[in-house]
Amino acid sequence: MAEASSSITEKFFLTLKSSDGDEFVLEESIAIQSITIKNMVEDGCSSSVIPLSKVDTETLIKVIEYMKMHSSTSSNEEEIENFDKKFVSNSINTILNILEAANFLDINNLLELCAEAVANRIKNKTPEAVRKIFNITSDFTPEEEAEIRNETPWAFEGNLDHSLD
Amino acid sequence: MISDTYATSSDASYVDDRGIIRVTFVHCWSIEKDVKSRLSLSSEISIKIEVPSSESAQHIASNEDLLTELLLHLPPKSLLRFQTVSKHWLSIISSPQFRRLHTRMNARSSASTIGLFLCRNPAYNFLSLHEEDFSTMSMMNERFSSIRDGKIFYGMNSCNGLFCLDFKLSDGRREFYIYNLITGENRFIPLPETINEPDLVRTMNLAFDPEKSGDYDVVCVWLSVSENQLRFSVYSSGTGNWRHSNEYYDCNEYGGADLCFYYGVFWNGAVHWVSQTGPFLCFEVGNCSFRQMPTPPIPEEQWHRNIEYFGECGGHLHLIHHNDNQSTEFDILELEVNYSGWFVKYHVNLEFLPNLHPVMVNQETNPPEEYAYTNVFSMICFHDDEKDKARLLLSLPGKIILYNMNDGKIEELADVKPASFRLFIDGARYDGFEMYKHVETLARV
Repeated sequence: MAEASSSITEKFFLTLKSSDGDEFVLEESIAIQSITIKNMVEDGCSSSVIPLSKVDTETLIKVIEYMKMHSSTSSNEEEIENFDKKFVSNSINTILNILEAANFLDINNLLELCAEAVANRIKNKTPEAVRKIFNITSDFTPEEEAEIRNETPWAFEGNLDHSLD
Repeated sequence: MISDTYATSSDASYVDDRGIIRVTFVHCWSIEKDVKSRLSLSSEISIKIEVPSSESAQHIASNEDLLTELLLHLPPKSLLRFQTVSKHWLSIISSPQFRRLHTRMNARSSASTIGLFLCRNPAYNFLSLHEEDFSTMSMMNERFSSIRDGKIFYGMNSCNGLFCLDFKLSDGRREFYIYNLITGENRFIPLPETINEPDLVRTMNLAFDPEKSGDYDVVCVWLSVSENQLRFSVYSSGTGNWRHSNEYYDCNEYGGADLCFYYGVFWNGAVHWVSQTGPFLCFEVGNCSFRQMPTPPIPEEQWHRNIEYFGECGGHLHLIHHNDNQSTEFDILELEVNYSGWFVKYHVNLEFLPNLHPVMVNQETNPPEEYAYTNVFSMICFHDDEKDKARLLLSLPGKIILYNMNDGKIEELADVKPASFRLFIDGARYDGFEMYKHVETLARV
């Protein structure tokens, strides 16, 4: 009994606030998977609410889900693997949002997972589709683009994917 | 009314073929939410809204570090294609730093093995391990031919994605090129300046370890005809110069006519050569020294070892010699990492195979002794990855099959047409010395 109560008192909680103003209370041991948050805790900035001005509510919920799954001692390898598989089946824009958040929060595993997932999603796409996904306007002249294509024409062959997700 | 109110500002709204109004807003996350909520109140029409680009996508694309991180996860072929996305993407992907980093990061990725070259002089075939790559490979084959440019294709070897091509000119001279098949780049390798007529190049062997360095070495083994010695020289891509080993192999003393005759296998910083009759040799590239390595004995009453496969996989060196041509059993040997000897990694028994593939039963009525085996098969490639998925690629007359050694499953991979210049039934069969792994790499030549 004494042991149980002491383990409860050892738990510290942090409050994370999304850019939309929503607040989430999270165990510190889970939250410090984020190096950014860990540094804030160590610098003593965690007594009040931690504002995450670059992460919206929708993204923060996903990030918290991820951190909970990856810190929980009860989840086994298979559970984590299934979770990750499902996690990366989100829309590409959602994954890009999480990727950016993972970079800001400095959660290396999540960053890797998202980078790998985005790469898998876009690897067979046309350059045009990639431009649309990242909202990039080509700054090549048609001649310049043709020249690059002609260097490795086989890279433009095969069934390329035009979709945006 | 809806489109009047909300979508006229966007020129990207249209009615698609199912009558669904698609409104495309360019990176307007907040507007999309806004529109969604208002539309759901005021309209009963099914509305799908595509937002092709999120703000994050833009942030990532403009963040050099993050974009680089993302691009490092893409395979070489995709990266070559995405060089046309923008000048920014081109500058990242084509930079030497990025290519070196990408090559190193992807060095041990087994997924990057896209297929095998099966090379029977003067022709080669490509066996794709990914179905979708077939069309691409035919284009790359064309490129392969263009570098050949009328010269006689004499042989090749490959190492972690780079190829060393060996051509014979009409006057008998040899020319060597290092070639990256996926980027199309090549480099001419001059002969060591120490070679003089009538010395002969035995092999020109690539030694490339992308985990250690973006540069590669080329080990030239050549026969000094006057001394009857094998000499070793090493070309470094970083300096473009040759270094020459002080050590040599005296062919008078040790014999072994086929020493360093086959292309060697690069593993653990050294090139390794097997021999049917002589000792196995290994040459350490870094310090330019060679030594003998553990060599299985020649079976009694035979004049040579029948080596079918010698290669590297998953950080280990493997050897298959199949000496009893009446048997469908053999061992797959692995070299101890400390070079203390070979041990049996797997014992393979293929006695079930002739029933499944009667084509492998030798039909020759009066074959010469050399071809008098009961069953016709050879091992092309052994693959053993970290998840203990041991697979053996076998060549039977007319077909190539993959044998999964864990579950015993057999998969037919390709048909092989008989090569016209080989007699007997095994003309439609390859062996392990005609196989070159193809790994996609952005390594610079």
